[in-house]
Amino acid sequence: MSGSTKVTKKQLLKVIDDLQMNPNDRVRILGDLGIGVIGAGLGAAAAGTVAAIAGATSIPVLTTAASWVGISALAATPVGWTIGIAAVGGALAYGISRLIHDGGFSEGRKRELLQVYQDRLREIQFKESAEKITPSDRNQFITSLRELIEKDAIAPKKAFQLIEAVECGAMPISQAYSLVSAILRS
Amino acid sequence: MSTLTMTRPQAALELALWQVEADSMNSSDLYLWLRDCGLPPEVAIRLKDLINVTKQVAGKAISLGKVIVMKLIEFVKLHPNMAVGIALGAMLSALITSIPFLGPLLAPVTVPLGIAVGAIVGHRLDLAVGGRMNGSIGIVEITQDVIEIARSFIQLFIDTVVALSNEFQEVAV
Repeated sequence: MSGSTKVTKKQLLKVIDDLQMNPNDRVRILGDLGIGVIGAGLGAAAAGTVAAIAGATSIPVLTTAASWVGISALAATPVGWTIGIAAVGGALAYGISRLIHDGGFSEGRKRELLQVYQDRLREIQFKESAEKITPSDRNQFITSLRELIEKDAIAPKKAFQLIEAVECGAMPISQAYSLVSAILRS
Repeated sequence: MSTLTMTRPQAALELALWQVEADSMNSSDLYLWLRDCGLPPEVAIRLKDLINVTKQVAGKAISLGKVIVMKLIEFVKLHPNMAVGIALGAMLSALITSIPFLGPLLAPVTVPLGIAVGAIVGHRLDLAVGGRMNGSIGIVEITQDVIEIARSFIQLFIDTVVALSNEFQEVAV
């Protein structure tokens, strides 16, 4: 994917807030983060095609989580140092904070959010089957990540990658909802 | 290496995001890069075959081979001063020793790269952990270092695949 691989929590939260306030200005708001937005009238099926075309021609790849584990530390390194960095990097790279288990979310709030995610998942699955996904459905998914990002339940980088994948049509919104639900459930 | 145990949902998220990257990368571009980076043709062509390997995880097809090749290329690009064959060999050794079920999948690539040395190095790393090896420096020790660097780089991938290893299934052709 393309990407602001160094997107910060603050930047991402600001973008989500902007999107909540100006949902019709999504092209500019998401564009500021380097996320390309697919045509408003396209359904889920068409979105996949657009992503495939875009992917083949213009989306640079090779920006995986591993690169930020390794990029600064591994370039020219004594091995012991590398291993030390890797242990820290490994913990960070999981992307999902321990906070979800250690009290960032109360158990009640977690269940509440899970319920919301499951309801939206069902709704989106119907819409995807009917090819009636709209930009506001994508906005809803993006804004639903706000609390998880804020409480460090999901790392900004992972959230960004999810948003990017959904926006370019490479991942159905239902899959994104279901991945996040699974994290809330764990 | 890592200090946390990756849960299944975390691993599923990682894998889904890698799949998105894999989908957005053209297989022909990967093969072109493999040809241009100076790899022997017999290795490049076997890596090309690896690109086409898919597995099924929880009902979804995952381009596991393509993801592995993308990781290999990423590692080689991060280490421009390391000979490409050594970098690939180290990565493959780290993968095979950490994820046993990848062994048969990667065997066609490892043979022409001569990764038998990786097995010896792996054994010596085990000895070192047990404190039963002296500290002399030679080609094997240097190779150990390279494999350790590769393993550090690929640890997230290893943890992800290990967390989901019970769910990987062959895709029926």
